[in-house]
Amino acid sequence: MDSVHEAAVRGTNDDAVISKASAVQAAYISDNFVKYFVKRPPRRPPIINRGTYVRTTGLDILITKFLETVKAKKQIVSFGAGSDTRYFSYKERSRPFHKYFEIDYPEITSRKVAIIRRHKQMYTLLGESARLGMGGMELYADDYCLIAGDLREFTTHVVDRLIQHGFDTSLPTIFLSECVLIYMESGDSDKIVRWVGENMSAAVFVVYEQILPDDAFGSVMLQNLKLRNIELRGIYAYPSLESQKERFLKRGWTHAEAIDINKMHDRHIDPRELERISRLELLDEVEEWRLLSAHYCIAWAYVAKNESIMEMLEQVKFVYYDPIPPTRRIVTT
Amino acid sequence: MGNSDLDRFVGSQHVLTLRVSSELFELIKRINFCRQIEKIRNCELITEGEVRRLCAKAYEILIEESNVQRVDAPVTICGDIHGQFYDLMELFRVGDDCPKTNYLFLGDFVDRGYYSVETFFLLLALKVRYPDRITLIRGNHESRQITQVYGFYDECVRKYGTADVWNLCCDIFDLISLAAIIDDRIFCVHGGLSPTIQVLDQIKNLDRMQEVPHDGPMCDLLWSDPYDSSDMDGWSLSPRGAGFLFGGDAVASFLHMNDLELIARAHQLVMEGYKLMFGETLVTVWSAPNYCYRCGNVAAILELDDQLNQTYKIFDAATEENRVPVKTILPDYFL
Amino acid sequence: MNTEMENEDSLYPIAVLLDELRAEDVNYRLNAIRRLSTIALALGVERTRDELVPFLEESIDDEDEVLLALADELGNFVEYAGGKEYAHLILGPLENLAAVEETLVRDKQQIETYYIPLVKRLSEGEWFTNRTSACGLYATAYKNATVATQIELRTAFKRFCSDDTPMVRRAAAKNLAAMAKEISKEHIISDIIPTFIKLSQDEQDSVRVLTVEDLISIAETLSLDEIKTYLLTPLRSMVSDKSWRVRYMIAENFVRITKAVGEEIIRDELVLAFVRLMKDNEAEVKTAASSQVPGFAQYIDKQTILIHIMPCVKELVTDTSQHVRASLATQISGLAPILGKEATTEHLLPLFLQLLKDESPDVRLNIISKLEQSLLPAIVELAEDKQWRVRLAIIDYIPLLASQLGVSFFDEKLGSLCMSWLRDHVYSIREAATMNLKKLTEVFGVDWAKNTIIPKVLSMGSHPNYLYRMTTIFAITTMAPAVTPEVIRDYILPTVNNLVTDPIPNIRFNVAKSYEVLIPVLKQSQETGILLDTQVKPALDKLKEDMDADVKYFAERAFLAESERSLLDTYGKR
Repeated sequence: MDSVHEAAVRGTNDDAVISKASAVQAAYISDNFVKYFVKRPPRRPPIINRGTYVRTTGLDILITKFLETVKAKKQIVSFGAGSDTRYFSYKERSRPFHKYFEIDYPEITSRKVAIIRRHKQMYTLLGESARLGMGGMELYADDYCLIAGDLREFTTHVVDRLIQHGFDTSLPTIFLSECVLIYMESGDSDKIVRWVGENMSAAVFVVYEQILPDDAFGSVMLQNLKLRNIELRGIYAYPSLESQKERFLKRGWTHAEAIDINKMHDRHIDPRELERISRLELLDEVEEWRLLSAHYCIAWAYVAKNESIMEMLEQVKFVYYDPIPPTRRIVTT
Repeated sequence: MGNSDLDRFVGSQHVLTLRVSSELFELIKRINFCRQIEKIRNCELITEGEVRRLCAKAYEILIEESNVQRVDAPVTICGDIHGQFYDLMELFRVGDDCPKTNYLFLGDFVDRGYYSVETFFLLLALKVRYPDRITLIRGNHESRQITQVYGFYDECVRKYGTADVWNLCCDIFDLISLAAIIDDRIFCVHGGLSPTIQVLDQIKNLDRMQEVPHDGPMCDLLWSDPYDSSDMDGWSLSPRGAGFLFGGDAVASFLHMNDLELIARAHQLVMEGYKLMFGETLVTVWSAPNYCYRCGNVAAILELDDQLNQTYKIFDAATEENRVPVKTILPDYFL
Repeated sequence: MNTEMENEDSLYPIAVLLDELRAEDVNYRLNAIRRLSTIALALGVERTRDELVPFLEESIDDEDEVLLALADELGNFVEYAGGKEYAHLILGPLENLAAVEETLVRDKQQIETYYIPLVKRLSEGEWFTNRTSACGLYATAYKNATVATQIELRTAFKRFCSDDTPMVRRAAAKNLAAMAKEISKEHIISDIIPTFIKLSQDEQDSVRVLTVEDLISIAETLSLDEIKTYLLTPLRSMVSDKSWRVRYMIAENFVRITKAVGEEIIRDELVLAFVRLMKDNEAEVKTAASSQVPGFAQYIDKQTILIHIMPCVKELVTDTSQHVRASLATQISGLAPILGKEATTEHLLPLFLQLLKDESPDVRLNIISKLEQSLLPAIVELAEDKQWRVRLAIIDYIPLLASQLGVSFFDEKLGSLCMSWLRDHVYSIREAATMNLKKLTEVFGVDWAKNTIIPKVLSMGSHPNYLYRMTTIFAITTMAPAVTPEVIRDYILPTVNNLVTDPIPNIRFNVAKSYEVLIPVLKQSQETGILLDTQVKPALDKLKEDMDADVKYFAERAFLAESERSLLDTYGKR
């Protein structure tokens, strides 16, 4: 029973990378590496492309802010990173970070290692120090580390492995969880959130995941996912924007925010970008887009033991763009 | 018409031929046609040859229709179907079969759902067999460009191997009326109003037999949405990238100019199945329950009796035993 | 003469006592009590036992003072009743006294002076009757005894559990529950639970049977963890006890057990235990379990009911024992409010109807007796459910209900409901409603239909709303094959003929379709056959000239159907 669930959760990685490849192909986002993970990307519907765009862009905005404003050596830890290519994109664009850690199930990391190893475009970016570990399940380089592990054992096993590979709790670190914590029982994910909050000298935690399980759309969403053997085990613990913030604030974090994807899309994406993507595909599914986007959120929180770092972390947030009032768009006939 | 009826009549054709007349031939043709409708009703795919004959017959009928088709009450108005064939069957269980009930479908028969082909051919076959009992008007998805993005094209190629059937269908799309008017009182259209149209005659004068343009009055009728807001009147750009948003004053003015009482339209998902706006002068009717097998909404149809009294009938998605195994229908999420 | 006198003399005191004990004045009553020993002596041991003691047992005074005096006297009564071996007889009145809270109970002195010694004497009695009687006094004695005495009492009680006589062990088991209620938790764990466990493993099932009650009482005093530690094992062995009587007792008390043990154990243990009992080999156990179904269902979630309980219930509905089925029939309706509408329709109603058809009249009686108070309201509510599929499911059950309940009950309780479905706004419901009318006609006969439903259906034929007229046409067409040609001639045909000129084309072409169905029925008799020429053909001729293409087509078709038949008839004759 549980292994079916685990396999299904691992399968969600394929789904995420396929959606990303589709969005790349439709020119919503640019990424030079996702093509190595998906040979022939299928076309996803416009709302899925748009959703992938908002998700990717939203997280990139926060990570970039973090990398730019924090003046110190910085680490990135990506939970359940799957086939994410962010490390390579950032490396290619010379984003400043000290080390990028990724953790996922061994079934996924070994595939990722093989694909990276096979493609020079990626492997050379790792630098000369790159070497495989654990029989090809893991990959280590000076500024990159891919660890195989089960996040349910984060505090008992994974942390030690990270430290063994140079993870430093005294460095400001941004932790990423894109649809990862939600698959775990809240007891397990809470341990991660608590550990990070208590043990890091400065940290930002970014979560992207589903909310609102109880309305009509939400309950159909859970049913449909269940048919794919996917259970959002954590959704009832953090079913709303408010509870998403609480998950951090109750565990010693200094500040937390949570917005849904509608807000992200309408108020925090550069209007010029919105204009650009609106030309890519006709979006006829306006109402459906609203519904879907209301059921995903980006939540982020920070904690710092040091005042000056704290001030920097406060800057890790979105720019607010004013809504264009409809009256200004009146067309004379 | 039930199967037993058919067997009784077709089985005794040899007796009928004893008294051959042109009327009888017509009758037999119709009976054979009913068989085809029965086949589609069982969600069986009709052959490409049958599609050609169906489209040819549909062509003859649709080309005669006006841009604004006149319809008599009683009639039942249905919104978007979007290829949800089994839910269309549910719709008929709620509203009664055609021809017993007269129907007006507001467009968007295809795309998104998994049975656009069967859905469109059933409606088209009913139109051919009972032209006076069912009226079809065009939605923004009855378009070459949109069907290539939203699934109908892919479905045709998947089910028939080539794009021929899709091409035949698109040619039919170009013939479908743009609007309907019931008993001179109720204006029916897929999307909404256009800032370039004040009176019905302006619609009647449009050249409708073409692909839906990117802008202009024909595009607006199929793409526009009503927008109820205190800080907006008149017209503004639509977030869909085509058509306009129109306010209560635009509706009031259109109704007044044309001596109408109500605009019935579809085009927008409404979780409750229907939504009245602007002091009940406009209604959105949505007939695809659990839209895209994902949205969790109920569907509605609007029954108008011979006195134009309105009854909204709400229904849910067809139950599992009334549809294909649901495992094949798994919509996308972000995972 | 002499003997007669003696008899009168000896009777006299009893009569006086009786009078005095009933006197209004407390002093008279006190006096009477104080003379008890004298009277007992006068009566002799036998009559004291047979007459005086039972009398005392029945009359309980409401004045503390009187009761105290009685207790005083009774302390010495053992002697008058014939000595130790008859001491148990005094216990009745003593127990009664003990039960009167406000009197003796407060007075520990009394307890220690009279009651405890008596209990002890009885406990050590040679005769098992003494010991069994003593068991019944322990709870009260314990409650009111000093701490030192309590220790003695606990030890003494434990001895009963190992008594050689099963009757004594039975008495211990029977009274353990009462003891448990008086003893502190610490001593329950140290003394009562070992005693209970010993009894629950007694070789005699008559002893084990009685420990079910003890289990419940003990569980009520314990925490969840303590229950898990001490009671789970005995509970499990009771559920699977080799004696059906023990299992029966568990089944019989299942809801009480459930209530006592708490949610976690219910989920982890009791659901499966209950399933086991419902599947027991013995009819008695299943009967008892059946009686607990709705009560137990209240403690578990709906999903669990549907997955675990309903399949068993479904099997029990067809159990070979009619007692099982009868028990279930009494209880099953209690599940409806717990299951909610949809599950009731899907899972419960079929079982209900199955029981309605049961071969045993007891079973049918039980289910029908529940019908009015719980199921009928449920059916009526479901019949108006928002979801049309629920309404549809209910309609499907109506003909069976009708055949079981009989015509007068049906007319009174369900008749108007059946007519209201004809006006439902969902077509499938109207369709089912007309099929229902046809089936009801088959059940209750044409005469019934003629007098009750047909007039109502026909009256809708002139309703201003065309949908009602459509339903009339549809309903009479559906019913036509179930009625006689005469009914068609007298009632149905005139209505159909009227609708030939209906303004709505949809009505007109359904009229044509209706003729098509009526033609073969009319042909069944010579008398109605002529109507084809006089009424049907002219009507079809008119419809064939209709403006509407569909009306024309269906008229044509009906016409052909008619003539094609005559053609075939002609061919057939050749």
